Amino acid sequence: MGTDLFLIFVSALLVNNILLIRFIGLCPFFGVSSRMETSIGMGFAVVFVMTLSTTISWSIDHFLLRPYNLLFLKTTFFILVIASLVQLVEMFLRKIIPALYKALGIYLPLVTTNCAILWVALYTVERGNNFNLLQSIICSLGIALGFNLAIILFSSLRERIEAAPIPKAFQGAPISFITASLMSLAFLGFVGLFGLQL
Amino acid sequence: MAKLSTFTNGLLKENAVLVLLIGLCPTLAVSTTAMDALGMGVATAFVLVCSNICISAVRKLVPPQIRIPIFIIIISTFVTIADYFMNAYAPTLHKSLGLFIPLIVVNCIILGRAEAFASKKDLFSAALDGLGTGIGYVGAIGLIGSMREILGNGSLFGYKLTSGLFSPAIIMILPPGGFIVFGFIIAFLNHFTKKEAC
Amino acid sequence: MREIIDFALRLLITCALSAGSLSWVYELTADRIRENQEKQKIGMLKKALPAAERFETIDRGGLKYEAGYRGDERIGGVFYAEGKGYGGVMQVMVGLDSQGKVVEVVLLSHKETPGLGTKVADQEFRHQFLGKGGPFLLRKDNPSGNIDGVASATISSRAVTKAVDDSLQIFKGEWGKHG
Repeated sequence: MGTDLFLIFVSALLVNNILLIRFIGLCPFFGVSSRMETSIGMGFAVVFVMTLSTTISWSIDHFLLRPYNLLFLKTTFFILVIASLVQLVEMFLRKIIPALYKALGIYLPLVTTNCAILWVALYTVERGNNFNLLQSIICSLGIALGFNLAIILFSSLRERIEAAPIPKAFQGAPISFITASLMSLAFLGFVGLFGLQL
Repeated sequence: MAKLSTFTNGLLKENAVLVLLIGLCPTLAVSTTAMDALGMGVATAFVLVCSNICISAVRKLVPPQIRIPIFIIIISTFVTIADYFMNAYAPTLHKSLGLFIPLIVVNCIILGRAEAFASKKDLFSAALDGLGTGIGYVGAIGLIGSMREILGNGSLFGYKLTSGLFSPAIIMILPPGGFIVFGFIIAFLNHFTKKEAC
Repeated sequence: MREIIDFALRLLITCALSAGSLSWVYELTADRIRENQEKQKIGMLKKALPAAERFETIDRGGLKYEAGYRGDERIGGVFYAEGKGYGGVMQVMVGLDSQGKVVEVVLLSHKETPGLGTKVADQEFRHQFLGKGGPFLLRKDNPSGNIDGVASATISSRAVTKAVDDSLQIFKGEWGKHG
């Protein structure tokens, strides 16, 4: 049971890194990562919202949607859970840690449209996967931390790139993408770790 | 005349993926073959047009404070409709797109268009905007998908093209390839539009 | 306070409309979807055992396979097996006739590298199994082996070979019992 969870975690964190290998969650990846501080802040928000929403979504699927044959409401339910959680986080931050709230600015509501969060919820309830609640939580935690890892690495790279002489046509988005592709190549090297596959 | 520009705007000048750089999540993940890319593009365009029309139709009835949840519910309804119809009438496409179909609901493009345009303009303009942006999206994702399929598999829509010419670079179909192709396309466009890349 | 009730009401109406239309779409497409799945399943089974007209699922004590019939005669079976491929588990369907000879090998699902590992689905590799009764072993793993793997795709080749061989074992166990 323990190794099972460990493998799920490592697979989610590295081998199948959500951003660099699965390509999911890119919008904030390119938007937020130009500064390290916002990246870290965004990262925390994502970890919180992702694990909590996956837990709630899994429960909804398991106790409500499947037994009562309401699977066609899955997408709607899941996205509403995420949107509500983000609202809660927003209100919480505004009252308790206003500095972080200010720093995240527009990126906090953007967490709602973060493909990654909805994707994790959907992935853990996928019929083919058959995750139980604990596995879902560990998986979402791994994915959230993988997201963080990628985004923090990327933002430190971007800060360096901004100082480098880049050809005009490649400045900004293109060089970011090419950098991301190199990081992705690097992460592909994790395939085979502990016998894990893509 | 004003109406025509609404349509062509989304097509070229403000093409969602290539110019505004939004809606990337599913774009890069799904575009491993031209067929999948087109399927995803059409599905997204469908949701875009329908939700634009719907949101514009109810724009006077939605109080601003709850507009985001209402938009989300409307969008997710159309996404689920697209999901089920695809499953019924295009099962192979549905299978290869998999979890990315529900992910259309968090495609920044749709919510972005709804917020910036559809909720403020009349039905006809909203529909035109949806159509223009949608077709622009299909074009962009189709382009990326075709390039990756040709370069990575030597085929287009499943028809073997270049089997004799060169050995396809598998990397193009894997994640890094997506990033690279996209980066180069944007650099190419930047070069010809002489824009200040942000 | 009035405002909140107003909001809640509007949200409720939207949700109700959404749920209603989705439920309708679900009903509309449910039959078609179920049909598709059935067709797909039979289509796949027929690929493995083309001579069969209909299939009967045998599900007994953890073992599940499809017995193929032509008329009333049981002409073979379709067995499921798995092999550990390069990109993940490879699911293979093996059609065996009543003599235990391989009729066809069908790759159900896999995550192999396109262009390399996917070549195990090609006729070139597959025909080494057809018409034979096994056992099957990769020449690369054992000089006395009888299967040549696909170049640069040893892991994928090994996985499929093992899966086919496993199916034969299951067949021997089953058919051996009722001839």
